[in-house]
Amino acid sequence: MSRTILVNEAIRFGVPEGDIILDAALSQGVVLPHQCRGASCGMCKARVTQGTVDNGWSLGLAISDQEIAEGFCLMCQARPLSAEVHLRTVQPIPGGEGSAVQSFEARVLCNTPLTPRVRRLVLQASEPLRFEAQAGAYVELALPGLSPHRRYSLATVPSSTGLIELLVARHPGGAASGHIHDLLQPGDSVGVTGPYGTCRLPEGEGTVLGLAGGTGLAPVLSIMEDALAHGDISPMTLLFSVRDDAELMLMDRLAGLARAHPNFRYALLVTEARSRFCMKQQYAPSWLRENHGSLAGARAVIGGSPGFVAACSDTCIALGMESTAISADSFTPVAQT
Amino acid sequence: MPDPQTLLAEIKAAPGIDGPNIFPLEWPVETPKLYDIYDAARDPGWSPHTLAWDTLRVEDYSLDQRYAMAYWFSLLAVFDGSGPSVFARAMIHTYESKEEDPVRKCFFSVVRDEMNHEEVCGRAIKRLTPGGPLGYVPETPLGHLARNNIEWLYYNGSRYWTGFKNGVDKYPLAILFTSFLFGEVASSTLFHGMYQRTTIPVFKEAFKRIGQDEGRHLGICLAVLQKLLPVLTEEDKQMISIQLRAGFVFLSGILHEPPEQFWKLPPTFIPAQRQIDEVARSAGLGILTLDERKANWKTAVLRMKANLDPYGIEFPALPEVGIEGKEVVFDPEKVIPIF
Repeated sequence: MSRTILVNEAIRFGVPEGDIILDAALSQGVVLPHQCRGASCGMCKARVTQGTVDNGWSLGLAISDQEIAEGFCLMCQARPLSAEVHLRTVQPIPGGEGSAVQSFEARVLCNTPLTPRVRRLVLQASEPLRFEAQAGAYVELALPGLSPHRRYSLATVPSSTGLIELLVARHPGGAASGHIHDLLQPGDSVGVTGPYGTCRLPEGEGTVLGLAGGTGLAPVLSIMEDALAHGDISPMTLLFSVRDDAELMLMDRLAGLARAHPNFRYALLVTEARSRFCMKQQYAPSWLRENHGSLAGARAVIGGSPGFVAACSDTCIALGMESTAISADSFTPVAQT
Repeated sequence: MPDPQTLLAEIKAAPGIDGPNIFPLEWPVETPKLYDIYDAARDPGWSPHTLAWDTLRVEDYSLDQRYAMAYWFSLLAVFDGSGPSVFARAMIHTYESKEEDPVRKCFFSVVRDEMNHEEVCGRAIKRLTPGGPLGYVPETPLGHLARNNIEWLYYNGSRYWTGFKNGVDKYPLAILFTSFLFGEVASSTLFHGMYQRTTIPVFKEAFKRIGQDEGRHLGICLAVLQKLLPVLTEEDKQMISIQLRAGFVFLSGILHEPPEQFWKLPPTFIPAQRQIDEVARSAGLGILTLDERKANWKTAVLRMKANLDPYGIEFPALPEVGIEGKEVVFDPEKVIPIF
C-alpha cells in the first residue's frame, strides 16, 4: 500500500509501504534537499506537520533527540507510518524559485572601495541570462589563474536586471581578494557560478536578530532587506560589528531601511578602538547579553568569520533561542594557489 | 578477407574462468540509490590542498603542543591512513566477487575520500613536525613519549593490516558492510565532535569536510545494508556479532582508549597518551575528554545496536562502555572494521 507525502504543501508523491521518503521521492524525479543520505548532514531535515513517521537510523549528529521529540525527521531515513504525511523542509527545495545553479560570464560594472579593506564589486550577468537567487545565497567567482573558485555572499538579491553585488574584503596575502582589489577593472569579465547556500531567514514569527561581522554584513543585510521588502512586520534588529570606525560601510542603506521600516533598527559595535558611533568597545556576545535577557522565540541570521558566527550562535542559544531558529553564513579565506 | 559467416563456423569457445576473478566484466545494477550517491560523490566539494594551511602558524604553539597535535594526527592516520589501502583492497574484492556496479563505484569514491583524509593527516603532521611523524628528533620528554607511542601505534596498525588481509576475501558483502558501517559510525562521531570543539580554523574546516564525507560513506553502508540485512543467514548473523566486537575493540583505539584484546601496547602508552591529549587540547585541537569520548562512543554504539536489533543480530557485550549483550570470542586475525 502506498503512502502519500505532501512536502511544503506543494509537492505530492507516493511512497511504497516500507520505503524511505527521500528514496521514493528521488526515484520518481521529485527533488528534495539532501546530501549525504546517511543521517549525517541534516540537509533533508523536515518537520512532520501532519501524520506520523518511523524515524529510522540516526547517530544524532544531524538531528537531536529533542528535535525528533519536536516532530522533526530526516527524510533520508524516515518511513511514513500514516496514510498521509505532511512535511515542511528546513532547507529550501533545490530547483525551487530562484535557486537553480547557473554558470555564466559576468562583466564588472563597478569596483569601488567602501572601506580601506573592503570593495564593493558589482557584476552584470551576461545577456540574455536572468540570474535570480534567494537572499542569503552566495556565488563562486572564477578569477584568471586562481584555483579553487572563491565564494562571496550576495549583498543584494539579484533582480531581473541580473546585477550581482558583492563585498570583497582584502585578506593579507589573499590571491583572489588581491586580484579583485588591485587588478579587476570595470569592463573585465569573470566567471560566475551560483547561486549556492542555504542561509535563509528562519521560519517563524518572532523577533529577528541580524548579527553581522565585517563583510558578513552582505548576507545578513540582504536577507533582512528582502524580508522587509516582502512586507515582513517582525521586529528586526541588525547588529553590525567591526574593529574600528574605518570599517563601517553601507551606512546609507542601514539608515534608509530604518527610515522606511518602523520595525527595523540597527546598532553598530566597534570592538577594538574608540568610536564616535558607540559608547564603548564591545563584542557581539556581550552586546547580546546586555540587551536581551532572553531570546526565547526569537530568530537570528548570522554572517561573519567562523569565530564570530560560533560566538554569536552559542550566545543566542544560551539566551534561550532554539538552534533551529538560527541560520548562519560563515566564511573562511581559502589557501592561495 | 574471410566472410564472417565462414569464420563463425570455425569459432572456438573461450575457456571458462575460475573465480574469484575480475573477468568476465559486466555492469549489473540492483540498487540504483547507490548510483545516486556515487553521482553525488563525484565532486566531494573540497580538497586538502586548498584548505587554509597558511593560517596554521606553528610558531604560535609550544614545542609540546606541536608534538601533541602531530601525535593526534598520527593516531588518526592509523585509521584514516589505512583507509585508501583497505578500501582499494575491498574494491578489488567487489570486482572479483561480482558485486553490482554501483557498489564497486561507491568503493572507488570512498578510496578517493580516504585518500583526502589521510592527506589532511599528513599535511598537519608535516607542518607541525617537519620530518614527522618519525623522521625528526623531539626536543622535549613529551615529544619522545609521543614518538614512542607512534611506533607502537604503527606496530599495531601492521597487525591490523595483516588481519584485514586475512579477513577481507573470506566474508560476504553483508559482513563487510556491517563492519564498514561500524567504522563510519565511529568516524562520523569522532569528526563531528572534533569539528564542534576545535578552535583552529583550518582543522575546523577539515574536520567538517571529512565528517561530511564520512556521512556519505554512512549513506553507502546503510543503502547496502537495507538490501542485505533482511536476508541474512544465521551464520552471517553470528559472524556479524563477532565482527562488531572486533570493530569495537579496534575503533576504541581512537574513539575511547585502546583495549587490551587487540592492542598490544607497553604500560607507558596510555599514561603518555593521556598527557599528550591534555597538551593537544590546550592548543585547541578539539580533543574531547576521556569521559566525553566514552559517552559519545557509547551513544553511537547504542544507536547502531538499535538499528541492527530488528534484523535478529545479537549485539556483542561491550562492557568497556557498559553495554550488555552476547559474549563473543575476539579473533584478531579476522579484524575488518576501518574508518
